[in-house]
Amino acid sequence: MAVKIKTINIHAFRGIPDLEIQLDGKNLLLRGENGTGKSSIVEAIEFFFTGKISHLEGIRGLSLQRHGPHVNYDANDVNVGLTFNPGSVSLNRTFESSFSPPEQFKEYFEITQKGIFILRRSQILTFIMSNPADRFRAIGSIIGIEPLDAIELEMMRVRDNLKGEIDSKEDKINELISNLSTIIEKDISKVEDILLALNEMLQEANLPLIKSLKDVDKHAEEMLKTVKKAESIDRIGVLNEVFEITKTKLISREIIGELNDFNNKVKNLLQEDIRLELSVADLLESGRKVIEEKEMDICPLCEQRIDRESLIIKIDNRLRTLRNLSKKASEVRTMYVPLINKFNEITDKVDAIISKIESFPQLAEEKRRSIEKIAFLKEFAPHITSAKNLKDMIPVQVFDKQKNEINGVWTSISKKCNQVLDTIGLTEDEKKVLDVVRLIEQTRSKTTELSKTQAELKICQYRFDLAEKIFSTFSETKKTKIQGIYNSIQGNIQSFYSSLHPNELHKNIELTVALGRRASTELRMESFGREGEDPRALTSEGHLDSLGLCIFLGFVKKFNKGCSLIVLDDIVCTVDAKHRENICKLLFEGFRDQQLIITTQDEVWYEQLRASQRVYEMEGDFKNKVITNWCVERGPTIRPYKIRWKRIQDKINSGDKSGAGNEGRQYLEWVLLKICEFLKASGPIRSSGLYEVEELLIAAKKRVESLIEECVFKSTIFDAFQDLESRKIMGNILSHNNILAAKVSIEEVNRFCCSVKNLHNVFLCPNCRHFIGYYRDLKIVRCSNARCENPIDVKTK
Amino acid sequence: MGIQEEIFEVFFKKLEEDEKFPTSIVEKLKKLWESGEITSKEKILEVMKEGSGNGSKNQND
Repeated sequence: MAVKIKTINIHAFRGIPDLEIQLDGKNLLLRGENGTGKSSIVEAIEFFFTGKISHLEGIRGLSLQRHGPHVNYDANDVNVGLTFNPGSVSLNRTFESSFSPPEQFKEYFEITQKGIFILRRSQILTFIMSNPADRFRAIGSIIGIEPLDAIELEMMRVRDNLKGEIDSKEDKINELISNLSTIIEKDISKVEDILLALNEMLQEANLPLIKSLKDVDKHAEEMLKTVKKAESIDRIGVLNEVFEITKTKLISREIIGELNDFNNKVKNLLQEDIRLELSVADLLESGRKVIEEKEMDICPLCEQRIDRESLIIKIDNRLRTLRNLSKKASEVRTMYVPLINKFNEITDKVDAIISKIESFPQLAEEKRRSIEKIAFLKEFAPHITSAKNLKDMIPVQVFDKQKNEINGVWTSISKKCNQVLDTIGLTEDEKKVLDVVRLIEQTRSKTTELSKTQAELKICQYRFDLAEKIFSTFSETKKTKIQGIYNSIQGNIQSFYSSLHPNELHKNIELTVALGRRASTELRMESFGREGEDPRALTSEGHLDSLGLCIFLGFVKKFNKGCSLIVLDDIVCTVDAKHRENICKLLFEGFRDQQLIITTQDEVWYEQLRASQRVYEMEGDFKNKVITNWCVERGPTIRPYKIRWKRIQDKINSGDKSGAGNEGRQYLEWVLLKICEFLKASGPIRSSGLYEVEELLIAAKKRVESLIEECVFKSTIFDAFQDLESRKIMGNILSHNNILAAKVSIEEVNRFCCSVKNLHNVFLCPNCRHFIGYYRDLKIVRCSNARCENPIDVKTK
Repeated sequence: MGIQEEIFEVFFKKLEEDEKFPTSIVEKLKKLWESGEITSKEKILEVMKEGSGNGSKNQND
């Protein structure tokens, strides 16, 4: 047995101090003017199931805690309770506490807690008018795949990170090969070339050859021993090494170009509305830290009570969205890794040299300056990280200035080393050997680094391949699955849409996961023979709204099988009367077993839904209610629906001239609209649903005059029109703040309303009381009820 | 089975079917998914590094 709501109790919530609505498991049709509490009821239902009000979310300055409670109550007073059949199970939600649904209702609550049983017009717009990414998010929340998006994003970040590592290693390898070529003065393209080049050089200098690169260290040591006495060997070795290292410029000019390229990419991102968002991100990050570390239950900003855990989850989600990767952001992350590695390498090199020159007092000044420069480099590196995180740009000019000074210190170390070596007093032959040893030392150091980097590159490449495989497999699987879901509901969406817009040239509605884009959904349809069109280009607002409704109902049909509840909150305001009838048909035929809660401010739509209840023999399945009044102290006053004539009579009997006049005028508008519709009068039918009585009256009279031959029936109609025209001024006087209203008697109002009723009556079939209509093919005006046993039948011109 | 579970089931199956892909990484990713830690870049990277060793599938399995 399907779970159905039996009773709704609302206390201290939004515009409702206290309210009970008895549904007894039936559908609810609720009409009320704007600002009378309809949406508060829908929001209370949403709050009960989901613990939130979706339209208060994500808007600065709005919050459930602050704007959820009724203005005369505190957050602690809020209580929404629903009773369910079968079993009359009562459950309540407050701001402090939730509920655990009984096991037999599990499936119903699993669906309702996602909130996808409610359709508001704003959501229709999200389905249709939003960009593919927002549409994907809206649909993702319905089908429950939101977390997958975050996972896919993290997988992509892992891949980008490893790509950055690869780029960094490749740059380093190229640099090392270039350095080796410079040192040996031969073109080196691989490690194997090095031994050959070294031996050629040794041969030229008449020095012993090296058998293998593994023997380089030992070979250099042996040669050094021939240069000087033992106690000087170590010092010469160190000076030699430092001299060789510092002979090559420490910071190349290219790094400035790389920093500028990086900055340009960051600048573009910062210009694209992200900068403002980022300040929010900082605030969120700080707020999150405070809330988490201090275990606060009060918001540090607005001092409202908060649900700490759910707030942290929300902040995390928001932060994730803010940090969401665009392609450019992905490039920035990829560029970051080699850049920061280069910086760290420079710092490490200076660090290493400082430890080597420590024992040489002649290099004390260079050491001091090097320490200063290290401090600068360490201070500067966070700027690069900050730029990668899109927080700020890198102050490249500051670095450019310091770069020259750092290179200056480096050159100075090199010169000093050479001078110190000179003071040790070497012969020309010893100097020659020393030069070769230096060269071998330097080659060895670069070769070792090259081999190590090549091995690391291999691992990085392998990991990148794996990461790419993980990301692409996941992304493809996700897209395939989601496309499968779209394919499975497209038939329903198309069938619903065709039932709303029969014989129209719009078909083949397609929802597709956008290729080449992460988390994106395209909506296309065939319009007027043109395939794959964006519906926004070719269809009216009413068509778009009905398409949004069809998409929502398509998802409901597919995913809400265990949930009977559908709430439609004021959704047809742009759809014209004829298509609204088709919506009634779709709801009452296709969703007959659901529990519908339909709210509207539109009387015509309300009446259409009531008429459809009769047509589909569902009158007993509905609670038809009207909000007659709302005030802040008492909230909405809800009365059972009464037929219009009964309402008018009640108001006349109670002496309510203004109320009766208003009702009478609305009644007249409705009768005239129906006459125009049924007689197919040209002109006045508008999709907006807003009419002037006068133009409707002119159109109706003109139509009767031109359509119906002279006969008793036509005379009766014109008598009714004449009677109305003599009294319709009453409607005008009473429906506006007219100073003459006070002078109108209740009898005059009654006569005006009776004239409207009389006009209504003459257009009804005397046999079955259905409206009479024009049948062009038969050239007759007759009862519109096909099953009428004795229909009125009048010939037309 | 929910949609998320279905997607992960197919995803892991596809990785397992790839002979070149280390099964140890698939197992570790499964554990991350089960524990809810698969939303962390650091955790995924950790799994990749632990599972990929020196770059050879054979050594990792």
